Amino acid sequence: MNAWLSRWLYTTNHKDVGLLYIAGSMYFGFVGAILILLVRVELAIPVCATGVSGMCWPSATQTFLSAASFNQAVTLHGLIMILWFLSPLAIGLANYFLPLQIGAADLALPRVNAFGYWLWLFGGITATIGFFLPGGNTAGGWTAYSPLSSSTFSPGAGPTLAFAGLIMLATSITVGSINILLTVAVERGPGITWRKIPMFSWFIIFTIVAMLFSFPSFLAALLLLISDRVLGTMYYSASAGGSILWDDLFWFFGHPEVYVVLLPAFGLIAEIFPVFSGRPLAEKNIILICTGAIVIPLSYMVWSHHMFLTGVTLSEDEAFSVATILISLPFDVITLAFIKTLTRSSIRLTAPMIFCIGSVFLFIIGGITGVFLSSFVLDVVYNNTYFVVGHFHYVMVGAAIFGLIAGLYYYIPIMTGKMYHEKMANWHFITSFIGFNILYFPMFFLYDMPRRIYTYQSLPSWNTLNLISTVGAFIFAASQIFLLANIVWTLRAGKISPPNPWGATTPEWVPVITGASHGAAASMGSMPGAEAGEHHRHESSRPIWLATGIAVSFLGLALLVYSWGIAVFILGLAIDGFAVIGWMYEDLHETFHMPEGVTERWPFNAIPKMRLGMWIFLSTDVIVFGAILGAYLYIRSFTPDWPIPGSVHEIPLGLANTIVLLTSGLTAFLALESIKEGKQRNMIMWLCATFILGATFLGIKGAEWYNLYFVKGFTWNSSIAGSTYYFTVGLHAAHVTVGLVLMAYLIRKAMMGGYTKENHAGIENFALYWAFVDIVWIFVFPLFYLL
Amino acid sequence: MNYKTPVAVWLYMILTTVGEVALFYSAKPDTFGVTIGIGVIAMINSLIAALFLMNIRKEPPVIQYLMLAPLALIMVLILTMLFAFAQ
Ligand code: HEM
Ligand SMILES: [Cu+2]
Repeated sequence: MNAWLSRWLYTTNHKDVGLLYIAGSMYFGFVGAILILLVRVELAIPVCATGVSGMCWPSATQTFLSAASFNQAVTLHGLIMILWFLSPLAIGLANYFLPLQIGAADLALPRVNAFGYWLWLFGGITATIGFFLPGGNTAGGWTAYSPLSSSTFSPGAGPTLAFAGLIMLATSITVGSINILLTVAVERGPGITWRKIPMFSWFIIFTIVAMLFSFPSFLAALLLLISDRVLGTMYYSASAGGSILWDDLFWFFGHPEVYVVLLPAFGLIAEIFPVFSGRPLAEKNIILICTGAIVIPLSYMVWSHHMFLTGVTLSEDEAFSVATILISLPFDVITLAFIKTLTRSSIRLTAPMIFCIGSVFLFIIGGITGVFLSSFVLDVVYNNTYFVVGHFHYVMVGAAIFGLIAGLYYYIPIMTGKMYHEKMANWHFITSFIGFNILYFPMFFLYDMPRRIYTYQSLPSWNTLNLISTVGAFIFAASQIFLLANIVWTLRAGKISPPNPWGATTPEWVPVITGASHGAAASMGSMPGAEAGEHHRHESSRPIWLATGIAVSFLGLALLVYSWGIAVFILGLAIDGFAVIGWMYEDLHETFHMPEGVTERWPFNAIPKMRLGMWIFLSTDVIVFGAILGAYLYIRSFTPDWPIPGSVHEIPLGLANTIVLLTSGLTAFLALESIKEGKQRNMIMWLCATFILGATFLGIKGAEWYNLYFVKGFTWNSSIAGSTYYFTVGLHAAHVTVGLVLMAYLIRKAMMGGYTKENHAGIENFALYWAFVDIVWIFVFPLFYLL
Repeated sequence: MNYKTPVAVWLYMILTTVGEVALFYSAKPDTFGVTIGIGVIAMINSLIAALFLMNIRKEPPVIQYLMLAPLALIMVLILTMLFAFAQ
């Protein structure tokens, strides 16, 4: 294959993947912008009153966009901008610069990193396919509120594909979070103690912690949604209180997500302010404590402020109102610290600096309006109006995007080896800042206009404000051409940048640490990996294949309405099988270069790298299963006529299966104990026993399901009890199946003598996983069979 | 090799699981005491599995917090959902 192409398709290098993320997010940013410009044209003018003509749409059915197109455009705009533009831009910068800042040679799991990228990219493409299908795309808003997202109100393959794309995204972000956290824990270069981690990396760490437990909740919510749509389960049905269930699972993710969007920008500000003001960051420790110890934990406990008006009890409203006001306090402190850094300093107004100042300024407006909203009394007025839209664009676009753009300019010298055009960048700021405020400030005065309406009757105050806003939108969008032009100009004609043009002091600018390849020259043009040994490869085709397989199988799922959908689905699974086997082959023969990791330092005292990775993964799985079991408990508390325990399920069979699984937990443990003493044959024997027990468990399960489904007529789409049973038990069975695949690999490797007394990390990690699967069942069995 | 602990743990879990089922048959299933009893057994068993099969007791504290944190957060979520409409 063409060397250039195969480099970018198969790369696992963190800089390459970072650049891919940045390029990809710009593409999606463009798509999202086009969508919202259409929307703004539609909203620019009202519908004409009867007998009037002029600056208005002739009638409600003769507007620029139809109601249906409008809804799809706003919905996808929100999803794409938040999840495929904003966050990924930050992830791209993190991919590139976090390893450099902490002196890591690469991320801890380079192939997983590449896999996460492709899954994210294909997820985004999958989510937009619906535009080209007959029924169109999902149209219920980016929050996908239930029941708008159900197949009743959003029928067809388009919405299903959008939710499938979101599943891919949530998976990608979860594995990415695990990877970056692991990197920080085990790959830091010599001398990079916790105290020496630069601010950008700290804020990425905080971002990751906010993602780690929120995206799994989103994933769980989406899995239930897809299952409702494709299989006909009834999780979000009205009789079971489904719309509140979605709200809770969604916003438990959704609120932390807003900090996920914001914090990387804050990290960049904390990096850039000191460099261009010539003063160290004021109150650095306080900023770290405020963010790490207050904002992040609290970010998980305020989500219900998006649900003030859903009818939940007053005491919950009060609690979440207070929590929300509390969480805005540390932000005051951080903002003041940023401002303090600038006082009595000599500021150099370069493009990164101006954008940062703009970001802080706009954040103040966005934050203050947020505090208005956190009062559930005021929210009665503001909820669902353009005031909310104004609020979150000031924080998301104003604070976050301005900050990220600052980061782009700041780091262009490293990423391209060249210097951007300063004048053009200044114009970029001026036009963006003006356009931005013309676009969003009027929205605060539109606090009486509901959001998500596709058109409106002429009303003097609304008309003018909307028109102004649309003008602003076009200015703001057009001003981004400056950025694009600047990047092109830099690549083609930019002056070679000195290695440290800003006089920064953080490690990514100062090439002292071994391992990481530094400085301007070693970027876009060179072949990463060339400097590494010959024996190990740095490229792998498995990640992109694995992601392709997943995308194809989701495509098949969404197309099950057509008879050939199943063929597509199976093709996807086949591709995945091929990719997984290939991946394992690389491991078996150690052809892929894995960075070594050390964890002797506090607080991970000598825990091996992959075991730490497994623990982090399991901690996210706790959320997935917790959310699913929580959904079950919630639904049961709502459903009076639940089948009497014992009337549906064969309790003796369930008990037998529990015993089988518990026994497999014992044998897995014994396999580990054996290899700890170097007894390879015993280990293989115990592993085989575990495999057989696991397979038996699935076999009994299959027989049970057959009997329930075909004999008793207890199906997943006939009752909510059936839905919850099949889904929860099915998810657990999927985990068992993954365990069997892992075991097949372990047994193969063990027979090659791959595990020894000293080196048996694979067995250890598997034993952890398997015990976790056991523990889940310890809850599932009584909950579904006995209670 | 120390078989004793794992086998004892295994045996304990099997017996208590049988105990759960016995509890279920012993009384009218939906009495409150039975629900609590079964719930407590399940929680103790999962704790034991975490301590002795996953050996979390031998891990550094940071790992223990790493697992406790999502548990605590998910409990907040579940309780909020369950009491959303309680008066
Ligand atoms: C001082 C801090 C903040 C407070 C007190 C706050 C408060 C709130 C409240 C109460 C709402 C719900 C309003 C409603 O739907 O009626 C809301 C909505 C929203 N906020 Fe904030 N917020 C803050 C900062 C942020 C930040 C930093 C971001 C993102 C970077 C953000 C993004 C959003 C979004 C996206 C929504 C609307 C979601 C939707 O319904 O589509 N907020 N905010
Ligand atoms: Cu929120």
